Amino acid sequence: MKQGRNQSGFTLMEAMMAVFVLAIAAAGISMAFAAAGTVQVEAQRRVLASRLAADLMEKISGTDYGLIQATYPVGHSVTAAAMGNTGDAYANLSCSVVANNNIEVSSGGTAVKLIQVAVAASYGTTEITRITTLIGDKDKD
Amino acid sequence: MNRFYKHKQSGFTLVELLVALMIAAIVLAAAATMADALACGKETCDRMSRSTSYLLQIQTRLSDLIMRANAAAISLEGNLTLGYDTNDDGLTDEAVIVSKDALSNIITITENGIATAYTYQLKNQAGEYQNAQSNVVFGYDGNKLVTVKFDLTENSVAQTHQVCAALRGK
Repeated sequence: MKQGRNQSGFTLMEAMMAVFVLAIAAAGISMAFAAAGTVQVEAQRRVLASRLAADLMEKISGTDYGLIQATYPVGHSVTAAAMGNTGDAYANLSCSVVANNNIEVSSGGTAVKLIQVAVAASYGTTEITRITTLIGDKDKD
Repeated sequence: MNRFYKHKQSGFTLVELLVALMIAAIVLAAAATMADALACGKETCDRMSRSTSYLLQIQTRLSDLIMRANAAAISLEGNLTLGYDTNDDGLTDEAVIVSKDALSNIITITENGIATAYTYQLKNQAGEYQNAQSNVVFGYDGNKLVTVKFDLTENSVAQTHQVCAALRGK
């Protein structure tokens, strides 16, 4: 460099280190935003999955009592699309019947026959939610 | 000139200034791109949670209406009428009409003569609010199951949602 100049700026090393630190900070911040997006997607998936499970349960309780066990045996599985829900938010979502048992409870000395049905909603193979309900024979009482 | 030359100058040279300016421009451009991406992401998340909440709201409302009903019918216009037996005499005493507008975009629930319209609007790419709900279809299987199907256009992609509920009233 020119003689007689008394420069006292940043050295290249210092400047590079500053840029490096800044880059790490920026990456950290953007990672937090990306995580927020993932949480949002997960939240929506859970809402849609529980809606699907509730819808299938409604379909089952809307079926005539005598036909429930034959129509919805354990393992009966439907995709979101087959239930009329389409769009990328519903991709890989499905629900299936995981339990369908006859149970008998005594109520005031008389035995009441009920069907216990459990429905699970899954994303791919991961189960997200499960609901269980008891269905009685409405036309009988 | 010579008089100035004797002073010890300690400013930036033109080249240094240009280099600094260029680096600043690059950094600013990167920051602007990132800020834009973040804003876009925020908007997308916002729309998503709006449509999810709307979906839950309309589902809760419709399921409640359908589950309490004892009878359902679909009119020629495709609207849904739900009947209620309020005094347990086995007959239908009250009716609630769930209708859609001529374009099948808006669901209106008419209960006790009071109509509540469910308009669901989202900002489009141009920043204007427009109806995001479309293709409303009511269905009834003739037995117990009532379905309401509609599309919600979220981030320019239409998603078809279906709400199912069984009539439980006696």
